Amino acid sequence: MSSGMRARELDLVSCYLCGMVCEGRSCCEIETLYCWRCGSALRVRKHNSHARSTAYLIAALALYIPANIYPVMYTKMLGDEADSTIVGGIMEFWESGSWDIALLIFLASVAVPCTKFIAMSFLLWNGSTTEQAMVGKTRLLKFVEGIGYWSMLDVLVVAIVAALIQFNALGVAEPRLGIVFFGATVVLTMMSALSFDGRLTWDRKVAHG
Amino acid sequence: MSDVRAYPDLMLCEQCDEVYDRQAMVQGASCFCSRCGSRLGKGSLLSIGAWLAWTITAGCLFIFANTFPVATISLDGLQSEATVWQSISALAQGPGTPTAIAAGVVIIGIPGFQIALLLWLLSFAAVGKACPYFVTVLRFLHASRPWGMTEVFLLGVLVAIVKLSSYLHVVAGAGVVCVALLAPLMVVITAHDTDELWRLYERHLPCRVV
Repeated sequence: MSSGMRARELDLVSCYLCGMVCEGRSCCEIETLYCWRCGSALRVRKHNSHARSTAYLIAALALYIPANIYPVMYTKMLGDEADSTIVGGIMEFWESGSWDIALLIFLASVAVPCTKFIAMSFLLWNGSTTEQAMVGKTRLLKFVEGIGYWSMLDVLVVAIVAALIQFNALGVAEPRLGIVFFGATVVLTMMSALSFDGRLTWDRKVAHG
Repeated sequence: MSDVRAYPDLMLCEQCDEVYDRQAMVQGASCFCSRCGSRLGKGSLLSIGAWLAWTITAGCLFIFANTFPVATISLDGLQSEATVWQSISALAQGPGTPTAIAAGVVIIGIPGFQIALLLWLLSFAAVGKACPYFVTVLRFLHASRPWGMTEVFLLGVLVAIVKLSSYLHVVAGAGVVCVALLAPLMVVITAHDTDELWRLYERHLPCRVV
């Protein structure tokens, strides 16, 4: 079923939205062609993929620092007052004996973002073109896209805790600045993965033969 | 629209641009690219009628998840219940506005929007018609796909309940059960292959020489 040919050799381009295969790949650089079926503009590659993906990644890395320095939540319950950071929150769960929740939050707020930083940098700057590396990189991109949104867990936990406690006069919980930075980090890493075009890695392979 | 020559019988791998013959795809089965190993098409697991039925189910669960309380909190006889919507809008009043907006968008706004669009799209498709604004609807569905976070919300509610239970007496409400049922359903209905819908749309296009 595979023709063994790549789209470039047959002058084909597929619509990002409806998947219709249209002719005129070589013209896309010069004029804007529109999909025969749905009318979306046809693009050979995602617009400015490498540069946008890098920019989002660097912005995400920069915001991850204040996200960890500033407290994410202020709580006052039964006279205990505390400002907790992301790592502080994990330690609190760990010390109170709920190691499973501590592990879960660690995975979502520390392990997943860091994995994404490393994986995206690898995808953006690794130039190896062996067959095995290419298949590996394609899989890595899918994996990064798949795990990305689980990092939102901490943002939602803070929002839900703060929201639920409002209905009880005895406790106070408020989101703090850190969670805004953390939320922005998660959104930016997701955008970095979404704007990365996996086909660029395969183009490089073709160029190198 | 310019006159571009189209090849309905071909498809390209999204990851590496390898050319494939669409006819050879087996209905309902997943196919993988022989070059890069990524999935070529999801295959249609559900018929349009079944897809619509699951979307209606998701719509009902979405309404229940937002109207039943997610948790009952009590301390020293003081008891309070809260639904998702109440909690998020209460949070939006105070200093937590940005957090509340972000949470509201990914757990209520986007899933609700996706369900509404799918209901519109599929109720026309079920009788063999393409709905008005077909392309716009599919464009919105495509763009919103990564941003609906019902599954993460489910986990978030459970963690929040555990966190609060060290200070207060917290009981999960019926809302949580609805979210738990809704989460896998959202994945099924939003990630479903749209190829069949596009072919339906194609039949309603003004006749053109291909």
